[in-house]
This record gives sequence, C-alpha cells and structure tokens, in this order.
Amino acid sequence: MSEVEAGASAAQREAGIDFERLFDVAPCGYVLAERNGRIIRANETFAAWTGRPAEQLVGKRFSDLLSIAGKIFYETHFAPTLHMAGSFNEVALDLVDDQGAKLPVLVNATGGLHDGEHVQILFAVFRATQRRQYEQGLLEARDKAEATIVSERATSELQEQFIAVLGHDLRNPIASIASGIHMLAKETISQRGARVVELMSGSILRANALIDNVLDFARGRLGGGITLDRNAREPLEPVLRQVVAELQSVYPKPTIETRYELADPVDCDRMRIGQLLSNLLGNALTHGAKDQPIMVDASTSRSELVIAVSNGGEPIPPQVLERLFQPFFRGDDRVKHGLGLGLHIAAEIARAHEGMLVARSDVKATTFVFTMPLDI
Amino acid sequence: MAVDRAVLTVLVVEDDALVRMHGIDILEDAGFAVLEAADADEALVILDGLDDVDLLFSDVDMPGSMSGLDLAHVVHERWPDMPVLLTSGHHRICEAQLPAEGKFVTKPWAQAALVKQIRDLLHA
Amino acid sequence: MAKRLNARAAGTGARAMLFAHGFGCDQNMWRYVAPAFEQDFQTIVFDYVGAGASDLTAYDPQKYASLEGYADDVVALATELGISDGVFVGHSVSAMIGLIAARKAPGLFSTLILVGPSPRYIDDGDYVGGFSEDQIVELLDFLDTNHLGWSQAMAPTIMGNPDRPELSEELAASFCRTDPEIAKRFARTTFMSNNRADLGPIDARVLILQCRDDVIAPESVGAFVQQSIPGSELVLLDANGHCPNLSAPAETIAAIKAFV
Repeated sequence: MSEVEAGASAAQREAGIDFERLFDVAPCGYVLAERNGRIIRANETFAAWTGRPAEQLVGKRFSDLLSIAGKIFYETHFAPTLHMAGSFNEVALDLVDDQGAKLPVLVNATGGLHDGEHVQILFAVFRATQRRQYEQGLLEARDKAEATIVSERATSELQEQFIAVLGHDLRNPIASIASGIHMLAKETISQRGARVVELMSGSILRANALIDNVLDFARGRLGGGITLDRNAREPLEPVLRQVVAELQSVYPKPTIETRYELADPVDCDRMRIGQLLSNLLGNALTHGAKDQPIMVDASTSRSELVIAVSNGGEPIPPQVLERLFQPFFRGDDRVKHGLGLGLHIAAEIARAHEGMLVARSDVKATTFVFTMPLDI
Repeated sequence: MAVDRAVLTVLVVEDDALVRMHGIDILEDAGFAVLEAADADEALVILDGLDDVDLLFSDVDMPGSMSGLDLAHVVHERWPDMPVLLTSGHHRICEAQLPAEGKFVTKPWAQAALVKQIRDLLHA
Repeated sequence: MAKRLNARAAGTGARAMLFAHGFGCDQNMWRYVAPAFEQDFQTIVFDYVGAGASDLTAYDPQKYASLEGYADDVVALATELGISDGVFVGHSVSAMIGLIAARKAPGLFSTLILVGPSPRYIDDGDYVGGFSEDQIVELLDFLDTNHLGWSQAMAPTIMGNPDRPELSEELAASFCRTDPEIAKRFARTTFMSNNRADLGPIDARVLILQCRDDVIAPESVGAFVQQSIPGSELVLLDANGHCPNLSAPAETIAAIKAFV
C-alpha cells in the first residue's frame, strides 16, 4: 500500500467510514453507467438482485436487465428525459434476473455526473415488491368499485323504468274505476251505498295523485325532469278551486279556507300547479291538526304568483324541515300515508317554473309557500 | 261550423267501456245526442254512414288500425268542418300536433270544463 | 390543424422541413436537430394528437387505432401549411407515418428521412421485427396495469438542471408527459402495426438513419427497410439507442445535411 493510500485508508478508518464498502452494501442498488447506458460499475446489492456477479454486469446496458416493457420505456422515455432534463425519478420498472424472474423496483436516475468530459448516469434502484402489490390491490379495488357502480346504475335504471311502466299502466284501470264510480253515484243507491261511493272516490283521487307523483319521480330520475306545458290563456283559478273541492270532499275535516286574488292570465302549466297545490294540500290535510282550518291563499302581484298553504298542529322540527323536500323522506311519521314524494315533486314543479317552494313551521302554523316569477 | 240544429250530436270514441259510459253520461246530461264507438275503425264506419255528427270526441290510445290522433287527421281531411276534441290520461298532445279546429283535454275530466270546451268548439 | 397539433414554424427557407416525433415524447425530441436547419429551410415541429401540447380533446380512439389516422393528420397539416416538395423527417414510428402520408398525397414531400424506422415490430416468419408476439403482449399487458406508472404521477419532478441551463423548468416539467390512456393506445397502435406493405417503390428520395444497439429498431430492420425501398440510402450513425436526435444530435444533423 502506498503512503497516500495508507494515509487515505487511515483517514477513512479514523473517520470510521469505508465508502467503498458503503457503496457495495447500500440498502439500494447503485449502478454507474456511461451516457449510452452501458454499465461501468454496479454495487453488490444490485448485482445480487440480478442474480449475477457485479463484474459480469460491466459492459451490459442497464436496459438489458429490464423486462421488455422496461427496455422499450427506457429507449422511448427514460433515456430521452435523462438527456433533456438530467434526471428522472420514481420510475417503476421490473428487473429481470438470470432465471427470468421479475423483481419490481423503483428507480431514480441522474445523468449529471462528470468523469472528466464524459457524462455518466447514476441509477439508484429500490425494491418495490410490496409497494407494487399494494398498488395492484388498489387498482383492482378501484376497477371493482367502478364495475359495481356501472352495474348498480344499470339496475337502478331498470327499476326506474319498471316504475314508469307500472305507473303508466295503472292509469287505465284507475281511470276506468273512476268513471264507474261516477256513474254508480248517479244510480239509485242507499245512503250507505252513497257513502261507500264517496269514499271510493277519495281513494281513487289519492291513487291518481300517487301515480302522478311516482311517474314524475321516475321520469325525473331517468333524466326527463318535470316537463311543462305552459299556457297563458287559460285561467288558473278554476283549476285551483277544483283541487280544493276534490280534496275537501275526501277529507271533510278540517275545513279548507281559501282566498283567491289571481289576476289572470298566469303563464304556467295549470295542471302542474294544480298538482303542486294538491300535494301541498294533501300534506296539510294528512299532517295538520284536525281541529284547525287549513288556509289556502293564492294571489298574483305584478311580479309573481304566490300560493301558500297553512295548517295548524305540531311544529315541524328544524332537522326535519331541512329534509322535507327530499324524495322518499317521510319524517318520523311512518304511520301517516304517503311515499314521501309529494313534497319533493311539488318542489320540482316549483323549480321547473323557475320558482321556489319554502316551508316554515312554528307552534302557530306550518306554512308552505310557492312563489313563481311572472313574465317578463 | 255546426249546422244550426236543435240537438247537436257528438261521437264518443273510447276503448274502455266504463270510461266511455262516463263520457256519454256527461254529454247526455249536458243535452247532447251521443253516438259511441270503441275504436277508430268503428268510428269511421259510423261517420261514413251518417252525415249529422257535429263533433268527434276521441281518446288517443286505442287498439285498432289507428290512434285517436291519426283518426283526428283523417276526419279533418274528409270532414274539414268537424271539430275534434282529443283526450288522454297518458299523453299531452299540443296544438301543433292537432289538425286545425282540434283541441285537447287531459283526463281525468273536470265535467263542467269538458262540457264548456265542447260547446266552445261547436259554436266557434 | 396546425393549432390542434401545436405546430411551431421557424427559419427562413423556401423549402419546408417537417419534423415528426415518434412514440414516447413530443416535438421537443427535435430541439437539438431542427434549429440547425433554420438557415436553409422553413422548419416545422409538431405534436401528434395525444402527445405534448396537442389538443387532447381531438383524440379519437377509432381514428388513431391505426397509423393511417396519424398520416391523415400529417397530410392535413402539410396541406394547410402549403407544403409542397418538402422534407419529412420522421423518428421511430413516424417514419412509417411519413411513408403512408407521402403515398396518400404524393406532392407534399419529395424527400423522406426515416430515423430508426420499423415497419413491424413483431417477428413474422422470416421477418425479424425484434420482438415476439408474446413480448408485445407482455408490453401491452404491462401498460394496461399501468405498472410502469406511465401516468402523470410518474412524470418526474425536475428540480432544475445545472447541466442544461437553457431548459426552462416548465419544459422540464412537461417533457414526456402524455395522457396515460392515450399513451397506452398509441403504444398499442405502434407496436401492433404492420406496415410492410407501405414499403416499396416511392417517388421520393429516401434516407434511413440507423443506430447501433437500438432495441426497438435493430440494424436488421433498418437493412430490411432499405432493401424494400428501391433507391433508398442507409446511413449507420455513430450513435447508440433509439433516439439519436437526442443522444447524438451532431451526427444526426450531419447525416441529414449530407442528404438534402
């Protein structure tokens, strides 16, 4: 050993660091290569991963040790980027050992080393088996989740189509029965019979409203939305009056008090507004106090149409009030009738008319107010 | 334009028997003479045989060779002066789809409104 | 089309020289070569749809499932720019794209420079493309599982590079970034392609630049291309690997200059 070398080694021993050894046994692979990728020196760690002695790797191209995909990627992405940007980090590749087995690794490379005038590349290679498995697992889970979403969406669409068809088909027999009831009512009939007919009428009315709401909802979910057939020529008041009359005949109590101040024409879909009122009124009749009258107030100002329906009874707690217009929401009262669609559909009708529906509730009254801008 | 007759005749076309009875009932109560048909084909047979039907009141969805809407167009072609009132619980027919002198009313019917609609069409 | 393909023109010359990048990156592959021709040519570089800063929304999987789709874009671009009797310089798969384009619209290019061309990568009978079908399937499977992280997540964060001060950080960060889905499809289109039928006589001067040690376009393939195009010339560059336009720009420039 020369004096210089002895001194150098001494210095190393003194400092306690054997850099040569560190290079070889580092917990990652180190590969020093020429600019064209040919290996100058690889450390022991890396050599062990390739299943070959380190000396045998000298002269091979780094890309020779990669899988096919890695080789192609090296030529088309890795090497160009090293040239252009000087480094390339966090590349996931597969090393292939002498048996052909693949070892997933992560590679960082820098191409900025100089040995005299030659630029060299230094690769740092890290084992990534577990990481790769984890990633695989994540990808598979994601694919599965996506597939589930697609299939659930398809099922959900089928269900909604079924509902739409059902609702549609139910209309005929219901209409038929309604006509039959109408005519039975005109026959000579006992008082009890008359009462029966009256009750049947009410049921049919409810059934119709239910079908209307279900169909609207299903159509909405399938992307249809609430369609409007606006008409500014026909008066709105008769439609509203009819709705009130029909519901009062089915629910004699509580009384429904009305106030109409509608300066026609109102540019709206009268049937839909009727449906909206019917849903609000039905809700009030079902949930309101039976001993306090329900107020229906419909008026127009210069700029808007306002329809308000108020009932007495227990106030609606705020957390329920928030969710009232959500479909299928029925509050705490499962006992009360309804699918929980009526208010939702009413809100959708309001929206379709560019208006809104709001609810407020306190000990004095619960009030639903529909406002709609008048045209313009 | 209706012939100035004392009693006006309406042809009711509807495939559901109960609903048809109901319609006839409403119209007879209102003072009209009423003829009935269960589908468009029957309706045309009746129209071909008589010349004093004043108004056609027809459902849209019916079995047979054509729908109520098709019937309305055929009737308008052959009897241009006859007003047509279509009705349906499923479809909403807008004015553009109807022939001239045609109107549409949804089911379920509001009795008074229906009668008024028919009177308006006849006296237009 | 020029906008869609992010085409950049430079130079003052009567004749146009269109540089087309290959599979892998984008027009920046030519940054060391194209400027050398600005004195004598009007140089144009561009990105294929799906690469670099091209209009990604214009990517149509059906159109670009074959090289014809890419060739159509080249023809459209050249026509829009009014190129006639121009030089087409195509790297890697672009070499074949150029041949297809030249056959589609014969007046556009009178000279074709094919850098590392290959008409087919998969071996077929006597033909040695360099890869077995299994290997290409392995490649495509690999891409499908996104294993190499050929995704945005894997695009390197470059902290600036003292060795290349002229490189802006922005360029460094965007270089070689491609939409991973499109990259996968382009890989499939490229490596499953079979365009040997597009070799053969052509009414243009053809130069083939071949590198040593090119895994993707080995010397035997370069020779095959040269033999299949009567009158074509092959120059073996003193360069290794598949991208002499980056690794050995001087040699590349010299070889092209000697030919045009």
